[in-house]
Amino acid sequence: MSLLAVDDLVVEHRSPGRPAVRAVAGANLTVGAGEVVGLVGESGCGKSTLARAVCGLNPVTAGSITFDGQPVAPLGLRRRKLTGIQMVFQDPYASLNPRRRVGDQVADGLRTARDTVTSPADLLERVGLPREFAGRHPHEFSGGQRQRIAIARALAARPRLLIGDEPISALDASAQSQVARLMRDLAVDAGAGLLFISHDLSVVRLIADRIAVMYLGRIVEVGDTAEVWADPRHPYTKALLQAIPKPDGMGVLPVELPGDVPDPVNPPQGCRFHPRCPHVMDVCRGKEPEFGPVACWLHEPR
Amino acid sequence: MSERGEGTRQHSDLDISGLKVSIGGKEILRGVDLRLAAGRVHGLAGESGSGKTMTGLAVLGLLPHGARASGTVRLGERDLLALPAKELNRVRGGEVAMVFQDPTTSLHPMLTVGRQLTEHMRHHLRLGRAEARERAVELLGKVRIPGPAEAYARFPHQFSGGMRQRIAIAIALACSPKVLIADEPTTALDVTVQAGVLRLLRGLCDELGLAVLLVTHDLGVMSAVADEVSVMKDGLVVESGPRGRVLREPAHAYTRALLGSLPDAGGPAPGTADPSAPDPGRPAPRTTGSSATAPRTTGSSATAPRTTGSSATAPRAGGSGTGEEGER
Repeated sequence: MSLLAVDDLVVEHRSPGRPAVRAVAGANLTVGAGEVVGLVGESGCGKSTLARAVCGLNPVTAGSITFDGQPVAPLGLRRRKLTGIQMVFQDPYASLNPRRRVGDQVADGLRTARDTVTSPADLLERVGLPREFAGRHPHEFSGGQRQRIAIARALAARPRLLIGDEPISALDASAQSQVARLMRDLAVDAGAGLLFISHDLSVVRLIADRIAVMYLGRIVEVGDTAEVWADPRHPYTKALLQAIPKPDGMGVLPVELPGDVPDPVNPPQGCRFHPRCPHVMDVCRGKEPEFGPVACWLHEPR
Repeated sequence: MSERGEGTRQHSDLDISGLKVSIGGKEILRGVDLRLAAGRVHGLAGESGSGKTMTGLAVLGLLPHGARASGTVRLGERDLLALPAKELNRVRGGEVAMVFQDPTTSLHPMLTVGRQLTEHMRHHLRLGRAEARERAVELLGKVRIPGPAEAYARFPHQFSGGMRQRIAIAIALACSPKVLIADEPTTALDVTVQAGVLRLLRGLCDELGLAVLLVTHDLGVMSAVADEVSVMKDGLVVESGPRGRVLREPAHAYTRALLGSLPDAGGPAPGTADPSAPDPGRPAPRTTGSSATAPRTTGSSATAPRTTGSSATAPRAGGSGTGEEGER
């Protein structure tokens, strides 16, 4: 059985005076123990909302999220029992408390796991920082170092599932793949699952075992990283991969996906991708492909 | 447009020569030479801390407090570094525009998108309220914001990151600048949006004869849009030349190392650069070099003389390479 199972999840954002935005509209996803799943998609497709819902940070409208067989309860003000899921947020400048020493912040995680043996310095060492950094404040560090501290804090709670919500997009290019690999190595070493969310396919490709591609609130393709990379089947995945410019010096402009991302308030009828799809058929306009692993009428399972 | 505008249209190249910038006694740029031509995209590559961004900022006199710049930055007849503040204000946002990396910080959170799009148009181009609005909506459509007319009245937080960057680009283009400095304009964007923005940049460059300085670490982006490519390292341009040559037959060892560290190159693992020691100051020992980026003895002079464009810098670059050699 998989560690995390997201089943037909629907998450809506409601705000007064506006129609509800269905950020996640029936997504299915599983993450196994020791498995690294990369969730990719354009900004605004609901990746982060999905991750936040998995952590209990966003209320679920419909569908279910089970972690280790137990449903994930929304995070409230009470002390949380579910500490097996830990998250690393996008912006390490905002996710660390500027007024507390990083050692103390890492110690919060240790306390959560009732770990009295490990010291914060040990964790800093694991993420590749010197032990004596525990006594410093976040402002003394660069973005990459801060993100490492945030990872150390998440790991301190001994999570069985680590979620990275665009953990590398706020970092410098040189630090990106390094931090991504660090997250992978640490999660896999600890036998934890990792749900790694990013819009940067080239980095996800380096670290993920499986890739899930999300479009407008739905997962449109799931598959082994190498397979998806070499042989993308959903037209959207193809478009995503073709948009990556290659450093071959030929001056070829990347292929642009026609049209705009539709407004999630009012998604298109039928397949969500059909207005932009180069292979659109009649069936696409009328009926939504509700199957996997490739949610496209061209790849309907028999 | 004023007669000044007419005058500069003929030779709207931006000419940076011997640009040096130091902050607190540390030399950040150690003599940068770049030439931007109208209708051409000049890519500036290099890892973080190499001075790419500083070069862009120095052109507009936006350097951090306490920084000292020397050398010349010529726009038409004028030297931007020597221009009085009032004159420079006329250039900034009007003739030379800039797009920053992070649209969350470059847009004002409390002003509507429309206000931010029209403010400088009304000032620089002296447009009326209605005209400015019309142009703003047109620009928003051009950068592919869905529902441009409604977007006009919204605030930056109501847009996603990719949208915000497109708005920032629209703002930069509003006054039809001659020179556009784009500092990592697509780093924060999705690949699909990036493809659109790159096409947009390329298109504008060709259509309007815009001279673009594209600062990016992404060699893929560089390969897609840049005509000329310059590679920076530790405040110096180590290699400069046409895109095809620099990316396919790199002369400088550092360029080779950069290309070799890409995931597709089958080379060593990317990003062996250590972010824990990013000291742009000189002569900082750069652990960054380790396996992937350490050039093989740069001084092996067989390659150095081939460096075109900024050949003057090659020997010094060789020097820094030897320094790294000693460190290892």
